[in-house]
Amino acid sequence: MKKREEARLIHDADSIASITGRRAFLKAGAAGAAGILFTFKLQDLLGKEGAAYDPKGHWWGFMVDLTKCIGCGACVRACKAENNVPDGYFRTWVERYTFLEGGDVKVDSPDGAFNGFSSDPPYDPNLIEKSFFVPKLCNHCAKAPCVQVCPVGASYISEDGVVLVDHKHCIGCGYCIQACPYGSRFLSPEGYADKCTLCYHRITKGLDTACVQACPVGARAFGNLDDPDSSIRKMLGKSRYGVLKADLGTEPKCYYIGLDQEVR
Amino acid sequence: MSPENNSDVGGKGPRNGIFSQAYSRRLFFILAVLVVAGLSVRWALVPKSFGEKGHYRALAPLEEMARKPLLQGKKVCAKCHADEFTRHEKDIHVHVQCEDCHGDGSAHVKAREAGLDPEQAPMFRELQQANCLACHRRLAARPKLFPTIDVKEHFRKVRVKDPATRCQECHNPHEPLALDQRVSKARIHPLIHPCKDCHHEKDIAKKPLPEGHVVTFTCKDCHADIVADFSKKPHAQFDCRTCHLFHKDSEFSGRIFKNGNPKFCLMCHLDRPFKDGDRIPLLESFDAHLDDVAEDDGDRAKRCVDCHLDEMIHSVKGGIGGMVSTPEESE
Amino acid sequence: MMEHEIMNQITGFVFPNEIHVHWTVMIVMYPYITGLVAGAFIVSSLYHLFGKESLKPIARFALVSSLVFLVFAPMPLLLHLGIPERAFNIMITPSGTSAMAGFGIVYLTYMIIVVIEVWFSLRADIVKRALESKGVKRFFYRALALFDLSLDDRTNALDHKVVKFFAALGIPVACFLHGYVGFLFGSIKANPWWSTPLMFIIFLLSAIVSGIAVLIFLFFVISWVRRVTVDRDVIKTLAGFLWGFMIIDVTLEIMEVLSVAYEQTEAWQTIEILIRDKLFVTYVVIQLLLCSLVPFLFLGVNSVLRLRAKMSNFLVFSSSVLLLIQVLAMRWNVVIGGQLMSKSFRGYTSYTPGIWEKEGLILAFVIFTVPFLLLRMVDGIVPLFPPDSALGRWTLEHRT
Repeated sequence: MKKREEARLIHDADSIASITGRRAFLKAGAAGAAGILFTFKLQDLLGKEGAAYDPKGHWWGFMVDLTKCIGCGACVRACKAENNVPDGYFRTWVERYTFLEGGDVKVDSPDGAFNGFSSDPPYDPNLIEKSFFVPKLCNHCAKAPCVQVCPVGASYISEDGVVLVDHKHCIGCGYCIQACPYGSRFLSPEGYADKCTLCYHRITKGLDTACVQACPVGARAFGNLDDPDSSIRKMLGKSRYGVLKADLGTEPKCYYIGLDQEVR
Repeated sequence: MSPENNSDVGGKGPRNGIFSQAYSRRLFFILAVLVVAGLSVRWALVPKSFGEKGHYRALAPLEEMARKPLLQGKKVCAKCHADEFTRHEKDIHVHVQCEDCHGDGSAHVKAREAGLDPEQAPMFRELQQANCLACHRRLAARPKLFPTIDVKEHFRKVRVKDPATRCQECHNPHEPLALDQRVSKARIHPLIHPCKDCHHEKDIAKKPLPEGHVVTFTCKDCHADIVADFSKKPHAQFDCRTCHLFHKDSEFSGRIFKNGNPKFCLMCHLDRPFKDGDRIPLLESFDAHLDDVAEDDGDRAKRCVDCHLDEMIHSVKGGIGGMVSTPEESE
Repeated sequence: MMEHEIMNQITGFVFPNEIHVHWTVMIVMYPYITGLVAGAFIVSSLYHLFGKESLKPIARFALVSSLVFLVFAPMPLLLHLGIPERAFNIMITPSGTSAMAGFGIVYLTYMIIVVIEVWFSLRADIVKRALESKGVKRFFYRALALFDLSLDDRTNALDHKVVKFFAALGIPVACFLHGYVGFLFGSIKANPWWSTPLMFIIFLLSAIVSGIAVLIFLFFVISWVRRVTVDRDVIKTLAGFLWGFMIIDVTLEIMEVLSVAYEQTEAWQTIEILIRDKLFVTYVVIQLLLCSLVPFLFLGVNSVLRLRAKMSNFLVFSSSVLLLIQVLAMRWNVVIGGQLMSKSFRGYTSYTPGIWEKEGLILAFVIFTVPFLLLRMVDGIVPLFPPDSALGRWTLEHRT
């Protein structure tokens, strides 16, 4: 364990990520020095990988095939590791829906399914009519109510359609958390609002999001909705899908194949 | 004498405008200065790049972009672990990332890239039952065709005595099916509708169809000869899919494996302390078995099924055989 | 509250990020205090603008109360913010689409209006004190008067004109200030307990109710502490307004819930349990039965029957206390109630405020008390009650 920590420090020392974080910002001491350091490193990095990415022509969307999800929680674990998500909060989580005879619908998500599901829910198996898993994450709504209500412009929709939070500008009022109909946002221990970034730092480098990469059964996918040849467009093109709480007019860009009306 | 007493005077006097008195001019001047000062400070404090693309800092998405990815992905692992990767790529776990089981590999890779011993940041290796069961535990909510087990039931079937036995004692997670060829090479099989697609009851496939039941395809409809033969052999307690592993692609087709790798058979038949040898024939090792029975090099190259298929599994082979029953005939 | 305690009190399913209630008792205090601001201002305007002469003894006091509460209104917000040192971002980069961003603009506009109105209405007395006093005190009052001690019929006329003008301008801004607080909740479509166009008007009316109630409460308390006979004219007028406004306010509050109940939408199933279970005490018992029905009857009896002064004083005073609690309960039920209900519509979390923590009850109480102490201080600097009223005479007699 200790060895692992040390290695992590080695890793952090020259990590670009560490200087954009608030904590490291304080570590750097004078704000001016950090500013100079930052621009330098940013250009450095964009020169290598970022320059190749042009947000224009991209409109990112997400897709979940509910008929495939096995509820293993690999996505939740991967997301936590990739994004250093604080304990007790979730950028993505998996819910389990259990339909009982008589019309009762029970939902559970123990610890967001970080450890998967260790047993069937405590109901008589003969009374269970159907049951399935539903992975949840930020819907990256085209008309995101969280962005609408943000008083300072810290929550925004990027040019390529990803709903993001500017951690350096957020005041932590929590209004966006109230406005999100999906429970996708939380207040980080550092005080700013936090949420799924659609692994913006990965997808802009041509990588999969952490959760898509981790999914062992291909239940999760993402892609460029603007590109008619993208796999997400092709899969959506041949599937029947739905979005969550469509009646609220938020125009979510997370599409669910095999969605049940009880899911909300 | 408060101002309110003179309400009748209001506005009647000459030159009684709001700025007619010095104190009034001063107050409004002070307020105006404050407002202008406030607006200038506000203007000066607007962060750099704010508003260039929308009502946010245009630099913010670039900063987000600049974060370094942590999870490596299996192609990075393959650079050093080519053997495992090759085996892993051809087998059924092909879509399972190394880091799904072994944890975030960023520190491990970083140490390696820095020329340090990667074991300074060791990967998680001590997988327990629970780790495998995260995917393979039988749960009502899991898709019916995903391979799941109830540990007790599974151990009873394969004669494992010790309930704490770890899965990888028999199943190598890097090649769980010990396939001879790439998983994607397995032929697509049409029309597989196991009873379990609709029914949750245990052993439903073995029960007779009730009167008027929709006729569904089961293995015996097309492969009656094989199924009839198989039912007389010692492996009859298993399903066809135990070995052929229908891997469902959609509601109408699935892949079918014809697996002949000895490793697959040895999952059950290798002698291990936790197995009940009285109830299942066990080999000390495959090589030892070959030493016992092989007469020449040709024999040594044989797989289990080359000798035991007819006797133990089914002697009828290949293709469609027997009658395909139609609804009319079955009634 | 400890993690496992919260987990134990969750019923049904809530989204994993919804376990903690983000908007705490501080966000309950915030609309409560802004409500007092708006309500007190409207009482003062009843005199300054609409010439309700019987309110003259309390008009200026109401105006200054409004300013004092206004100064403290952002305090609970500041304590609540995750990163309070960035609070000014709300004025540096206000978003045009955010109800909350309106805060900076409306708050400052209203602040300027009230400061102007207060200053012009106090100016004559500041000048008089400057003329009467000596030394440092004289300098202090001269500075307060901006070094212009002119006082004659023309300045009186001008002061009066300015006060009247800003009283008129202040009413829509006060309504807007508090209306936007209601809109802040009413516009959240994700939350069916909040999302109603009536929220704006209910907040506004309850603000007026709480403003009148706090003035009645203070008027009684100050009169009793100073052993001055309670001015019956003031109380009678205020009690009448309080009765009227509370009837409209409570009717709207009930009609709003009734219409949701009658529509029997998906949301009602969740709201019904919220009301019947989670909010039963604070909503049904406190807000509706104890603190609405009782004051309604008390004030009704007081208005219809001819009672002895002592009896009437008791009824009006207790009504004012109950209605202050009613409005606080209403804020609680809206702010906290809306968050107890999961947006999955399948479960409820729970919330108990801490005592000593940053967003705990002690600090909430302190924030609520400080404006009253400040009000007492201001009364020492300039008389808040006119000299021809009972309380004003007391001030004159007790000047050091």
